[in-house]
Order: sequence, then structure tokens, then C-alpha cells
Amino acid sequence: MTLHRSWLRLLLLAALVAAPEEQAAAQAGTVSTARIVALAATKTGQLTMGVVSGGTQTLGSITDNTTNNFPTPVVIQTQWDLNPGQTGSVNLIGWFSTPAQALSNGAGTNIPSSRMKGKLTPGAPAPTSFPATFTAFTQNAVGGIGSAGGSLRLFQISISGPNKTAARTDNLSLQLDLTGAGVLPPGTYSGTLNIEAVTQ
Amino acid sequence: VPPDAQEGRAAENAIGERTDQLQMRIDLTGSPALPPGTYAGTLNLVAITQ
Repeated sequence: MTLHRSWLRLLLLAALVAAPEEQAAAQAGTVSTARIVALAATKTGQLTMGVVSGGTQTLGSITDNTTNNFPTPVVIQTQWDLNPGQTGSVNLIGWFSTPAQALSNGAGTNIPSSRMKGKLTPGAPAPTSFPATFTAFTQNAVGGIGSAGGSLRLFQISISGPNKTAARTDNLSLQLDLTGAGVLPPGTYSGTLNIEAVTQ
Repeated sequence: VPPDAQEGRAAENAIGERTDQLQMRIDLTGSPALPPGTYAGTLNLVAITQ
């Protein structure tokens, strides 16, 4: 009888010792539901433009009823780093904020933007399109840049793999065309031409 | 740590929940210039016992 009880105790003890190990073995390798973290990182394209020289244009003496060319060009440098899949073209726009008053003598006489003309002497490679001859600032805004009837697209360059990263320098020549404008009162006429690059 | 204390700790976190913060960054040091654009991916998270 005593021997039988001893065996029972031994079996019970063995069962108690073994239970936690079996439980641990059952829990090892338990896996949770998988979750995901959505990641997104954007590198924005870069587009910069600056006037290298010619930021001040002066005509010492203007002549009525003819064309008056400003003596030196506006030298414009444009740089970009763009994704061709997201950008169709780079455009350079020049415009006057108030087309009816491109230049003014401050005494009520205004020269409209239709009298101001520009032409581009492009650097290489040549743009897709540009005003090769003097063209009036009478176009509309491009890509939200410019003024209605007071703008001129100075170049449009289609973007693809080979030119997605580029830097270029272009010369903008300006002309005041007073042909048929009558006689201007003597004085100094001043104005501001805005230049900005925009992608489309 | 006495064995009894270790067992006590194990018992304390046998059932639990916790909140942790994982911070991530992209290290582009020394890598060539990336073309502009949006880069997307998926990080998988899963908990497992051993």
C-alpha cells in the first residue's frame, strides 16, 4: 500500500513538472495578424530661373513712329530637375501686370504691352518653340503665369529623358515698337517686365 | 535576481499589451540623385512568439 502511494506521488510530481513545458511549447511560434505600414516619399521637381544680366533696360532716346530696340539683351538662365512622367514641358513667360500700362510716364500717358516686343536668341539646344522674331506681349497666361493679353511665352521646351535635368542660358531682346503710335509726350517712361518659368 | 523574482516577472507579463513607436528614415547618404517623383512601398509588421 505504501509503495503504491509513493508511485502515485511520483507520477503526480512528474505531471506537475511537465505541464508548464508543454504549455510553453504550445505558445512558441504563435503569430499575430500581419499589419502593413504604407510608405510614400516624394522628391519634388526643381525649377529655377534667374536674370544673369540685363535686369535694367534703358533706351537713352526713343523715336516716335518707329521701332526702338533696347541695346543689350536680358540674359536668362534656367535650370531644372524634373520627372518626365509628371512634366510635359518647361515654359518661360514674360508679362506685364497691367497690359494697358506696360510703361508709363507717371503723368497719364501709358504705353501698352502691345507696343513692347520680345525675341529670343536661344542657347543650345533650341527650344521646342520660341519667338524668333520680335513678338508683342499680347498673349495670355501659361499655366497660371502671366496676365491676360500682356504676356509672351519666351520658350517652350518639351521634357523627356535626355533633358529631364538641364541648365540653359537664353538671350531676350526687347523692342519698343511705336510704329503708328503717334507722338509721345517727352519724358521718361518706366515699367516692369516680369519673367517666370513654369512647368506644364 | 533570485529565481523566485524571475518567475514573478514572467507571471506579471504573461498577459499584457504595450504601445511602441517605430521611427523610420530614408538614408540617401552617398546614393546618386534620385529622379523626382513619388516612391511608394509597404512595410510589413507581425508579432511572433519564440
